[in-house]
Amino acid sequence: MRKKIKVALAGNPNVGKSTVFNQLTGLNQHTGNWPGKTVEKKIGYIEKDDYLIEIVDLPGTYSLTAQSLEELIAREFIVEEKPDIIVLVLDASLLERNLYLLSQILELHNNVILALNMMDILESKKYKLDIKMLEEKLKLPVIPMIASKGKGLNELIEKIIEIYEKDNIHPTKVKYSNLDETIKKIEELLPEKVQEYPKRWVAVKLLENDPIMIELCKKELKDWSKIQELIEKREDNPVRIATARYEWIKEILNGVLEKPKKQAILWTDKIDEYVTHPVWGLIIALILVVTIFYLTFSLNNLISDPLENLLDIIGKKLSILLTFLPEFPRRLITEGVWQGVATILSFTPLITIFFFFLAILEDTGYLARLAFITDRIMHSLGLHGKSFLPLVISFGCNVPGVMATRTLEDEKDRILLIIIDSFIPCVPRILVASFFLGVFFPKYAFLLLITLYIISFISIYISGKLLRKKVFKTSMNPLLMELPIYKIPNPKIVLLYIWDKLKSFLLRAGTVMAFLSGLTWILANIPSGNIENSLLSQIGKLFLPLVSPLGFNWQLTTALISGFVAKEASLSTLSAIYGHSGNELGNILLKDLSPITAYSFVIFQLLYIPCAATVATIYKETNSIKWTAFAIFYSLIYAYTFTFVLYYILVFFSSLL
Amino acid sequence: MIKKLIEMEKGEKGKVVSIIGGKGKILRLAELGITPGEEIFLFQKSLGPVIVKIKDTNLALGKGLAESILVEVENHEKED
Repeated sequence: MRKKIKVALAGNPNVGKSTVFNQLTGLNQHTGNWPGKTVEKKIGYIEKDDYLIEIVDLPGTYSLTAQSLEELIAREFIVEEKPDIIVLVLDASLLERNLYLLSQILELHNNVILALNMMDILESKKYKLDIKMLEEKLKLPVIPMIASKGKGLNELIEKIIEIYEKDNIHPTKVKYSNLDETIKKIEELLPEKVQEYPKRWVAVKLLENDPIMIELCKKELKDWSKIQELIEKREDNPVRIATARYEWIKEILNGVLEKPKKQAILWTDKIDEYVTHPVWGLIIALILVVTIFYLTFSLNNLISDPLENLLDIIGKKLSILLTFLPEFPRRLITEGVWQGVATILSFTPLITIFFFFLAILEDTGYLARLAFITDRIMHSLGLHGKSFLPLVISFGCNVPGVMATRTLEDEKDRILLIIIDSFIPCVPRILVASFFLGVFFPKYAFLLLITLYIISFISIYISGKLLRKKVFKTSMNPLLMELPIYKIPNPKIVLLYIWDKLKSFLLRAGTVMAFLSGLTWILANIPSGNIENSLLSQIGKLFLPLVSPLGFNWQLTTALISGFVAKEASLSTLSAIYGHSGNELGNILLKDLSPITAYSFVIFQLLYIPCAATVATIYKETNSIKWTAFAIFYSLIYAYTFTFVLYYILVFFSSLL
Repeated sequence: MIKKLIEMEKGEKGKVVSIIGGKGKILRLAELGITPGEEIFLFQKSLGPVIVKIKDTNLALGKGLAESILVEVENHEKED
């Protein structure tokens, strides 16, 4: 029988934890979500001799207080899933701050291995570290590593097995100097365990004002009032706990870590002098982002044509292969379901190229600087600095835009950004808009096109404020972020990152898209192949009373519904209904619609429901039907309200002329 | 001289005196190394957010946070 060892990988953000994870497990990993959360969960496996080591990558956290979802996930996993071993990845060059997390983990678990990563940076800083002495003082095994170069990985695996077999680690206890007495008093009032949490840990967390622990103890303990008295005696208890932990760390590091009198100036600081400069930094950021945007979409255009031809050929082959089927299911598969799958597949180059750049930005450490530089601008839109890149890339296409929101740590910030992201007009929407504006306002088309961008920013601003206040009920998280040292990305890690994102996108978004596309095809082809009397146009007519105040006819409404599959499809649907395309379609529309209606239609199609591929991506990223449905209905209601108000303002002003 | 972090000049050094705000905010800052008594160096100033060096780390702090941290700044030659 193989022995299974459960290992949890913990650590601060930016310590190379995912590098350690990827180097250890390679392609032998899978990505999902933590149950009911939008936070990514990664599990990987190592096979060694008679052992199967299962490694769960915990979210990167600075602490285990319940201040963020990530911290809660990490501590609940440690307590509830009871891993055999916790590997704590540390940045050797930032030991003082990194050991803070250790001080909390030690109160939950004994079998901890310290993976001392980034030993090369420690050296370049000219710090001297006595690893043996550190081991002795903490009574914990320490493995020095340079994970990006693959150094120390085998030693870590061997140590995991050794600790699993011996199971006799008794680490040094964390001391809280003058708070120790209060902690003991609280401990005496606590049972051995509160749920699964050991009492010392609970006592410390109560003093730290941990909201979840306080709720739990309030419910479960009779002596709560006595405890409450102890923890509320001093207002500054949380910061006293933090200070005491740092004092304990200082004591541990005394004699272990030696820093040079004069700090070596790191090249990171030399670069940052310019890159984070209020003027130079902004110029560098703009050049970089514009270049990435340009390269992403122009490289994609190069590859997408041959890819689409290939997908067409496969579609035709499929249709030949399925000739044994009756016409309806055959066309459903080839024109409906397959078209959806092909649409998602056609995103492959775009996602690959963009995530290549994103991985590089993230791995070099530049992404954090970009967030710093753009924080002021984004703040005026009511958003976090990290929202900049997802929003910019959305101008090309919302799909990678939504995927890029994963760089935001806070779950609420992320979902909010996902929802308002789709107000950014992507290229297909601008194509539809250009057609209408060109037909109705040939002289002012360009100027009116600019109003679309203004309206999209206004919508982001209004929705950001509104949703934050009414739906998420959070104030904006202030910028508080570490700027990691610049690093040269490891090609293997970058490739794994792209592969991981692409795989989950194709699988999960592909499934949703196949379904949506099949459904729309059925609606457009029931009861007959004629779109004019199809169910789709019936639905279009059903909504007519709602949209006729805007001057929309059923043809426009039907076009909007089919535009859900892909925004540019609304034009081809109009062509199918009117039986004309291009200029002729334009002439018919000129007779059928007023200019105000045409402009309102353009605005509505700009703001309403994101396209099906984006919806599928939203589902993939949020892992929640609830939020996906919310994103759809919110944008629909917002688009309707906005267009309605705009329409009547325009009607009012035109009556004055 | 005690100043708010946001009022410090680029390149100035000092010691954190206290942090004004709720328990959660103070704890969050403490977890990232900003505790009373700690040495702090203002590395970069932008239109709002700042970058400080503290406990070997470079931290970016938003305007609001930088307003709530009080620092005893090392004496300068010229004082105004």
